[in-house]
Amino acid sequence: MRRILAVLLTASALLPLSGCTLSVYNNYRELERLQVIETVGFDAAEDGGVTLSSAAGRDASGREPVRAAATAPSVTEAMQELQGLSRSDELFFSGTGCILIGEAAASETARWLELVARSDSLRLDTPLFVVRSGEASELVTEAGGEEGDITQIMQALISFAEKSGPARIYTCADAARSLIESGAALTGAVHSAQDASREGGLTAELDGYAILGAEGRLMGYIEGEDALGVGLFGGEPGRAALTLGCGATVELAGGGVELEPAWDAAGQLCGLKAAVSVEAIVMETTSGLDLGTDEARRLVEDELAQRCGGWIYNILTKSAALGLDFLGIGRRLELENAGRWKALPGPWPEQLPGLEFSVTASAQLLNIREFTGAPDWGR
Amino acid sequence: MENKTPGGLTARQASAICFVALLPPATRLLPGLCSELAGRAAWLCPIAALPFLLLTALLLRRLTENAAQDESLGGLICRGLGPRAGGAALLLYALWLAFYAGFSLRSSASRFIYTIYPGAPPWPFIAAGAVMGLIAAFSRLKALARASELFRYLLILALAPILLLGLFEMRVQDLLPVYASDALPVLEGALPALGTGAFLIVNVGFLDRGPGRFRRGRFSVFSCLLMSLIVAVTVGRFGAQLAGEFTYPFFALVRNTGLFGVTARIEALVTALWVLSDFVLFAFALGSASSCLGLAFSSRDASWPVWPCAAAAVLTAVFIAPDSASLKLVSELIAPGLNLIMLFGLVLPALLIGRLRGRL
Repeated sequence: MRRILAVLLTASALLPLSGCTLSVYNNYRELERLQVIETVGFDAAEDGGVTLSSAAGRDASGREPVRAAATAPSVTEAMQELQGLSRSDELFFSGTGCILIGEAAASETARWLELVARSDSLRLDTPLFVVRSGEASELVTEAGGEEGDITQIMQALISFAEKSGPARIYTCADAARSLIESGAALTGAVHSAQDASREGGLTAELDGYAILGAEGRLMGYIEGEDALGVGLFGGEPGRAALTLGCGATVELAGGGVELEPAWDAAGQLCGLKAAVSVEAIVMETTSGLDLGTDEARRLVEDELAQRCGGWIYNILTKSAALGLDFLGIGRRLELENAGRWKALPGPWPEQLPGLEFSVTASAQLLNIREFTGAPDWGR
Repeated sequence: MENKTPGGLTARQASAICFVALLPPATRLLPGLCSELAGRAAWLCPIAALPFLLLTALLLRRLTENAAQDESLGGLICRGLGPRAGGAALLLYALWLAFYAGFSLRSSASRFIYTIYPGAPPWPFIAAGAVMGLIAAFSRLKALARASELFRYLLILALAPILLLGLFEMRVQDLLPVYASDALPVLEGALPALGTGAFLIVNVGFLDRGPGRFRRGRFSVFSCLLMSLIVAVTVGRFGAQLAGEFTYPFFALVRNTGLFGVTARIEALVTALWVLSDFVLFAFALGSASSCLGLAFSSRDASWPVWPCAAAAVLTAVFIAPDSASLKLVSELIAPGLNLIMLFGLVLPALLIGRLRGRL
């Protein structure tokens, strides 16, 4: 009993030590006076300055979330300006759950990543998105209108992407680690769009991935369906629905990519064979498409394989064309061929553009039986 | 050596003190330094240190097996080298331990500033730590041991979920592959890990005669595995290069750890908990320094040596690092280097000489 009491007493001393209570020297804050910032945006301003935008989440009272933007020579000054704009409430950046970067600011992503890494309030494991052809402040301060806010929109998009692909959501830590190790990285991309539910309203939509090069410079995008290839390459394709030309709509259920390097006599990497395999379930078919026959099944599987193989080929060739290993190809090859990798005669980034890619793809439908013997609807 | 001495430590109490005092250097120093030295093989550094740590423990156990009732390591050194040479060696060692106590105070303050109170001056943390350490140094050793036994549960309660969540979120492939050419960097990185473990295994003998069972090897194995796990989880989460860039990679990991929607941020509480281990480490170093100083002057009064040692520690803490660059230098080079020199260049040779002269 005495021991338990002693443990409880010791534990109770931790609250003042961590600044969580009103004590002599602390960073205690009244909860009612806090505006918990949930989404932050960075945009490039004139003369190397920054436009910092922030959106607080909705509180229980249902009042409209605080959204504001401020331009200053540095992020710290911009934060202080935002604090001034909020008057009585204290802006609390430690709850930030999403960071958006305007396209112009994405030319120096390393600056923002370093800021986050050194910040005592922002966290490295926060999802990071580049706003394609737009400014982050526009989305942060306007998206969602009176009923919604950018945080809700981004949370919905992240949740949708994780389920339906492209499944991979990159955080600041992912981007920072990849930039440091490979000199290239991916982050999610969004663009602003008209909100169909409200006239004149603004919302955000997923738009593939942004490719970052040396020092975090924005080098391009992975667009459209190719973005699904990023998830597939990493073994997380998500459950994207695809309508095929043969009349079947399938949902991805799994898959991955195996890499087989080709080495020349000098030990140099000269080619890369990617074997793509996907599994899918059929969700619906046009009437009359009977998947009971081998021929029909093969038709669907071949088309699906071709489509998925195309994504992988496109992102691999994009990586080689830019000379940026944003997919982590080098790390994968090193893990699987450590000895030969160590003996590579030249640095990997120099060999990447010269690689020849060949992609083979296979697909397997997991629920053929449910779609065999389509009923005769009285034709 | 198997039984506790009157008023002394049991093996269980010794291991509690050493476990709690192990955490500050294991979390502050090793993840960053091992990543810088050995890259993705950093997690192997503490494992590479294990054989050397076991050898140290074995050697120390053999050298102290003829200790008399209530004779501490300091007493053995005096007996082995004679009062003059032994006293000089202990005086030098007391100075080192007081320096280390001051350094531990300053690095504890620095961690508080980094994680919770950015921009705050270090002196309030140094003053508070020094007062707490002084109280512990003037109290009976058993009080520190019992406190450590209690602190151990709280620290395990904080450390276990961080390591568990870290294991789930780490990328194992960031720890591989390891090449033969990594052997030298790994051995280099093993030095601070060896110093961290050996500091406790050796210096606990200055506080008390110390139960021999403690040095049988279980603590050595446990401490090396724990250090390896801490490094692996940190490197697996951030990658070796990014981890090497952080001031305190382990606390960056803590900052980015949330508890399944229960709480998003736990770093303030964890950092607050770590003050318990800082306190034990400081009291441990201060107590050992006082014991050495008292024996160096053949004093029977145990209280007076505490004052000069505490003063030296506080002065060290205040003046050791005017800026973070100096603190990094002391933390990563000077303190670990001096630690190894003092342990393997002074204490163990002093005991070996005593044994060779047939006095131990």
